[in-house]
Amino acid sequence: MNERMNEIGAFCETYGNTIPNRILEYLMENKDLDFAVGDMAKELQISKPKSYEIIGEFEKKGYLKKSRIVGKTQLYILNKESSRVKLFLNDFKECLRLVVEENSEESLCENPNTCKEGDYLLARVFRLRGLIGGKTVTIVPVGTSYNRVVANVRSNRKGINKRLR
Amino acid sequence: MNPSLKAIISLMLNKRVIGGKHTPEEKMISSKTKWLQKEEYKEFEKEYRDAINNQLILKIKKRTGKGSDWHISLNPRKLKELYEMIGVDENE
Repeated sequence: MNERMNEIGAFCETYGNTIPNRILEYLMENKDLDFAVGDMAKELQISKPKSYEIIGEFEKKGYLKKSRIVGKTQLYILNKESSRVKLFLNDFKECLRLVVEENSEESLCENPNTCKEGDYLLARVFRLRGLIGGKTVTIVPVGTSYNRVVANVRSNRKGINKRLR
Repeated sequence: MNPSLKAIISLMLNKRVIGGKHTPEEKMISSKTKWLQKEEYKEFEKEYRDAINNQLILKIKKRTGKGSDWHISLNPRKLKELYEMIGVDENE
């Protein structure tokens, strides 16, 4: 896909960034979708011969099976009945759970007067130009929408005037 | 849940495309819906629109040198909801 999407995923981070692992990760991301080997090679930036080689190995091991032919293209799909694939899927799910735990914003506070130090505060942009509830704020735009930002509240500090667009 | 949407969400979760980190919408959708039939694609479009309306997936316009592109990312406040959505069908 693009350069950004070739960053290592959570699964490969845990189990090692090798070509078979990257293909396995791709298979588990698309567990209910059938795919063409050429598309997969393009997306993962792996050569086609290597992709066909590994897909062949996986097919022998029973990790995937042929699904349908569209035009001249053979599509493959993950074999979810295989006991090893079930094991891989559980591991992949656990990796996703870790990502969710690491990235969820649980300590979000909507009322500026009840915020503690280190809490994330949701407020409109114009209210952040100065003090909120007697506390100074550091503005951290997260790009969720244009009129809202997340601010990290730090009490007993002088105002940090970050200019917004 | 539509398998294409499920694939998009699990890819974005796995690659941590969350909050400030985003990816082009068109490339993401075209890669996951390439082999869908017309009816399946319509179903996907409907569910995808719902996900955007419910703010599970955030859509932002990114300025580029040649104009602008629509980019998507996962809502960091609804990650647990998204994770559960992926997991529901698995248990069935």
